[in-house]
Amino acid sequence: MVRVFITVGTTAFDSLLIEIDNIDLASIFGSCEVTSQISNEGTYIPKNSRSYRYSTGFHEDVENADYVITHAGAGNVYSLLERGKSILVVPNLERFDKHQVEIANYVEKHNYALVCNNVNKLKDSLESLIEFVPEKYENLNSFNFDRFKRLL
Amino acid sequence: MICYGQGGHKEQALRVAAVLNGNYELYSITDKGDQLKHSKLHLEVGELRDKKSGKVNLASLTHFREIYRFIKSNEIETVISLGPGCCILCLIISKILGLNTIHIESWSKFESLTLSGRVAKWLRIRVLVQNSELNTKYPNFENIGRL
Repeated sequence: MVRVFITVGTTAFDSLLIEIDNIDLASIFGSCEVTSQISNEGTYIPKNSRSYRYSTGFHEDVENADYVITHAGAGNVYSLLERGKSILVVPNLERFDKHQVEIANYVEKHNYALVCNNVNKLKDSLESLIEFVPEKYENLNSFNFDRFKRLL
Repeated sequence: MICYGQGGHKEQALRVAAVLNGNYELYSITDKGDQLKHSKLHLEVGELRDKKSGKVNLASLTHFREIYRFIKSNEIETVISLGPGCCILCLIISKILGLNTIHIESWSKFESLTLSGRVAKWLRIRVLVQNSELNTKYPNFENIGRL
């Protein structure tokens, strides 16, 4: 049984959830169990997967997932790359600020993960995800706290 | 005092607070959400801009006085901003009061500055970037590494 986990963070990303609902994931992954973390701000509730807005089981769901489809929020993306998860990054272009585009470009440029910039092409991206071999992401943890403390 | 927002902003704030905890008395301000674990006192001021439309929430501007009082009454010495929009008020007040002020640009930015980053630059506040790619465009900002 393949486990697929979808996470959209705190901002509404209904177009992604709707598109996933319209895809027969079993035809891509075979027998699968799908779970979605949805936003408090979103209005769409997935019909074909278990979903929650907040759960203490979030980290467990991430850990157990074979594939994670995530918005391009940096917290999610770095954390998933650090864990070596197989992920599909979908920037949330419903946001006015388009902040998620830059990190999606970074991930794509370095081949750390597969990126889908258009939710209408999500099915193609999911099919590619099965075969995708990412570059290993090195946890930089490079923040210079000693230097930072000297600035305080 | 650490100013932050939701999601990734909070994750970055948590990482900063975890390292500073024990050596500093920490205070926090956020737009929406829980208090940082290590924070002694917390203030929630609402989102400055709607994430979908980008419209400025004028009501949030009324928090100017609230933030000012929070900073003064707690004798804040240093303000650390991690974005998003709600940090702009903190940056402005901190600048007016002449406090030590640092803006850490978001770890999601590689090509351009956030609005709070642009305001910090305009106010001549110290800006630290987390991704070396940003130094191509902003060579004067110190690259502090990624949280």
